[in-house]
Amino acid sequence: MANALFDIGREGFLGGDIDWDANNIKINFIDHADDNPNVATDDFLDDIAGAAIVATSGNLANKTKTSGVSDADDITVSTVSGDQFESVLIYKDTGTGSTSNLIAKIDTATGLPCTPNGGNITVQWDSGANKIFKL
Amino acid sequence: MATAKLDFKKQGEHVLVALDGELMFDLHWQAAVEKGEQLLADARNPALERVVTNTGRVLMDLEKSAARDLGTALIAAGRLIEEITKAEAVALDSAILVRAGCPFTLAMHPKIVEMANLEASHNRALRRAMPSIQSQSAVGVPGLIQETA
Repeated sequence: MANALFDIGREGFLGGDIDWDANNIKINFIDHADDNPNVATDDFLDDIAGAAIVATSGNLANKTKTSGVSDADDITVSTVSGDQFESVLIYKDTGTGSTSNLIAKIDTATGLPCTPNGGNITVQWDSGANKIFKL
Repeated sequence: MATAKLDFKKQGEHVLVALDGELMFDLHWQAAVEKGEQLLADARNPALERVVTNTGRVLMDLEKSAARDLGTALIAAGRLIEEITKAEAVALDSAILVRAGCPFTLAMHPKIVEMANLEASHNRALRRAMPSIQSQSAVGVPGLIQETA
């Protein structure tokens, strides 16, 4: 499986439900042993089993959307411990799982899968043409 | 020989057929399709030289070619009304084709095609059952760096 946008994420951008640079956007580290997110059928954060969420970041900062290419500062998740995780989930955080749109699933990245050792984990976004993702 | 002028109109679920301005048929779409099929069958029947039929108002005595034309037009008008009266079901069925990537739908009416496209995109049950629309969007490949604890 390659990195991909969720169907509901693409719909959200087209329908105006997701404002990339105005909304709170966070990432989760996901343990596929508990739940492997499905980009076609999972819609909101409450579709992901709680046990699968190993860690959650703060909001992405300095987000940009030039030419439909999303970017943001690299983000560090502090003192991560728990199960090995196999993917990074990007989502719009509304504070409520049932309304937090899933945006992208990244299961192909340098350093994945990752077994947390209690230290900080930094996600360095792709510096190529696609950055975080391109619509 | 003078040429008769046939006009077809839709009125609700009915097909109205006028010959030279005089109403000849007022048929429910199902009856219009049946009547059309009957006319086509009679036109194909080698035992008949002409097609004689009762419209309910007048007795028609048609050449076979005229019966074929009238039958074809009645079926087309009836099917068109059927499509409109069953728009929701047709749109849902068409949405399955759209979702599967077929370059056509079951409907001709642009509004129904639009409904089908909307259903294909937004019907959650359909999306779950047929998660096959491929995105052209691209996601980058980041790197994760773990510090020692």
